[in-house]
Amino acid sequence: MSIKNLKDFYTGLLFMLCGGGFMWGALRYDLGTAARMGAGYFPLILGGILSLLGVVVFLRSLVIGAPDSAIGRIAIVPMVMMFGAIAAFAVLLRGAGLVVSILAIILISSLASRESRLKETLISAVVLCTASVLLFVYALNLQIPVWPFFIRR
Amino acid sequence: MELIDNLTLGFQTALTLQNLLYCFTGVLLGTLIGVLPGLGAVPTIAMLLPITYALTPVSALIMLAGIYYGAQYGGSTTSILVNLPGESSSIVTCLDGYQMARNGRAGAALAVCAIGSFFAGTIATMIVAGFAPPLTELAMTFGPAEYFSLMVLGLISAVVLAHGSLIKAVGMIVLGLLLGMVGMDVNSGVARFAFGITELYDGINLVPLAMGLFAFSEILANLEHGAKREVFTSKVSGFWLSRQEVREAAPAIVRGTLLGSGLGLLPGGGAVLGSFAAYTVEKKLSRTPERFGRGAIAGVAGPESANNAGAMTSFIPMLTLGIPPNAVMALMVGAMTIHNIQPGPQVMTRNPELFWGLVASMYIGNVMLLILNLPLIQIWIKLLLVPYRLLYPAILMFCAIGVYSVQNNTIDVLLTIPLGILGYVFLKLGCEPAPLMLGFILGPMMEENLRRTLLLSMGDPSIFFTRPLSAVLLVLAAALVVAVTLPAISRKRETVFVEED
Repeated sequence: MSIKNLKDFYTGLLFMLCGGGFMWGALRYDLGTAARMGAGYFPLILGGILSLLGVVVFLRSLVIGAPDSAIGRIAIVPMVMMFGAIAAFAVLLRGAGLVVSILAIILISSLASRESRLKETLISAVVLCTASVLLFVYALNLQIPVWPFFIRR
Repeated sequence: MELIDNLTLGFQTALTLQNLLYCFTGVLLGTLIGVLPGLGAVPTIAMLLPITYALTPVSALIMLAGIYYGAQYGGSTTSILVNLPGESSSIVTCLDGYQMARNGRAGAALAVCAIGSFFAGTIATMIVAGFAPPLTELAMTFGPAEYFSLMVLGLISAVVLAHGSLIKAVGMIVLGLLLGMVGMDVNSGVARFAFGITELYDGINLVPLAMGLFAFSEILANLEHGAKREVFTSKVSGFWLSRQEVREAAPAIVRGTLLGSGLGLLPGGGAVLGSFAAYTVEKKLSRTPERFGRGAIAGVAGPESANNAGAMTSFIPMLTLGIPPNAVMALMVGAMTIHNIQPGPQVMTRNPELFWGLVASMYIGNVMLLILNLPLIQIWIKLLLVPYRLLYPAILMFCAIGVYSVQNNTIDVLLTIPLGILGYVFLKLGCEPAPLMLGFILGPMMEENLRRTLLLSMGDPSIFFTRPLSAVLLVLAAALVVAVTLPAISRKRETVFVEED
């Protein structure tokens, strides 16, 4: 047996997995009756529908092909750099403040593209830092610490 | 004349200095992100949602609405000058707009976009003002059964009108409905699917979801393809149309406006659908269809009028029924809930200044856009020269700050990472994220209405078919599903959307 449509093959698996997961979760809550629905009633039905759709998409992918069913290259490096940059921003923000966090998110995420040049990125990071502090902290009054905790007053 | 009274109230609200300022900010930002490829209206509105906390609800909605229809304006500029759609609704504008630019008629193409959009905006504003009150009265008679059936119809037509695999789109809706279940169940007080994470007790926040699914996966996709751009650098001039061009463009603008307004009303409609349909219609009606794709001005005028009209009339289902027809309107519903306004027919009676102020601001916004777009075009062109390698880290930064400021919460920022990965997986698997967003917003409403209906009928589901209005809505939904699975129509559906891929 061969897979005719790789995209649908994985979509089917994903739907089955999510549908099944939600059904399993829903069963742990009170189901109730149709007239007095418990917390698990509606999610159980939806999970069932999703799993069923998953089965159909999965089976169909084994029979019917499509012209653009290849998954293509997966951008591992850009993904790691991008989400790493976001994680760094989230972790740093409270303690190190907005300025450091922005430098981190810009510099790390710039590594996601091969075309980035360090000098350019540094200039844009400084500009964006200044602009964000002015815009978010002074103009919009958002409650974000600006500087690292050890130089805050 | 009630309509005139209402519109007067609307203009009084929209013409205050504060609201004019927010309207201007909205359309300016909208044009900006419309011009920039790779940043759409959905992540921008999501990013700005937290900032609107501090505003009055009217100002907030006026600004967010301005972003949406402003983006339709800006998107066409990029299409014409760079042959790269700034927004998905201006994909078809690339076909003839870019060719016009190559023929030295870039100025005329930009002018016809602006005039067409302005005309469409004017007519669509009138349609919103005229159509909304009767629809609201109808919606007032709805019980929970009708609402549930209406949501089913809305969700079904949203996927029918979208392109790509129908069954996968339905799956995405159901997944969205399920994600909407996460958090505290209002009836029993049970925290569902929260895995003991306290921050999830209130449910998944709309903003990180929109960012993850729309913004981050888009950046990854652009990095993968290596966003190459060639800006049309020659000076843009000659905004005046020749007499021949006026003769060709004028009827196309009228047709595009009507078509776009009609399609915008439908659930699942909005800007994108109208532009594709208008292009097909213009090509069919033209006496010289062979000129399409080589710089036919009707091929620019029709779709550009249609996408603007559609963007505006798609507010009608959201404002009158409380049911968002597309992902942008789903965010608008989110914005209203932030301000404790329950979207639905009662908005017009309880908050008339909000409703009519928004309608009037759309008209004012269109005037502003006309002024912004033609004389300032050179500035927008300069903006296009910023390389993507500098743009995407900035987009990422604004997204991160935006997500954080929703609840001053770094957990929400971290939550965008798994959601972003999910968005990338969907992108790779050819699953559209927009239906998921609709499901996510409608999930809790659907469950609530289903509960109420079955409570009233003592658990008997046949109530959905014995209440006439509800039965009609469900039959319509079923008919739609049957219709698109018929081979003749499904083939047609493919051809309409073929240019999108």
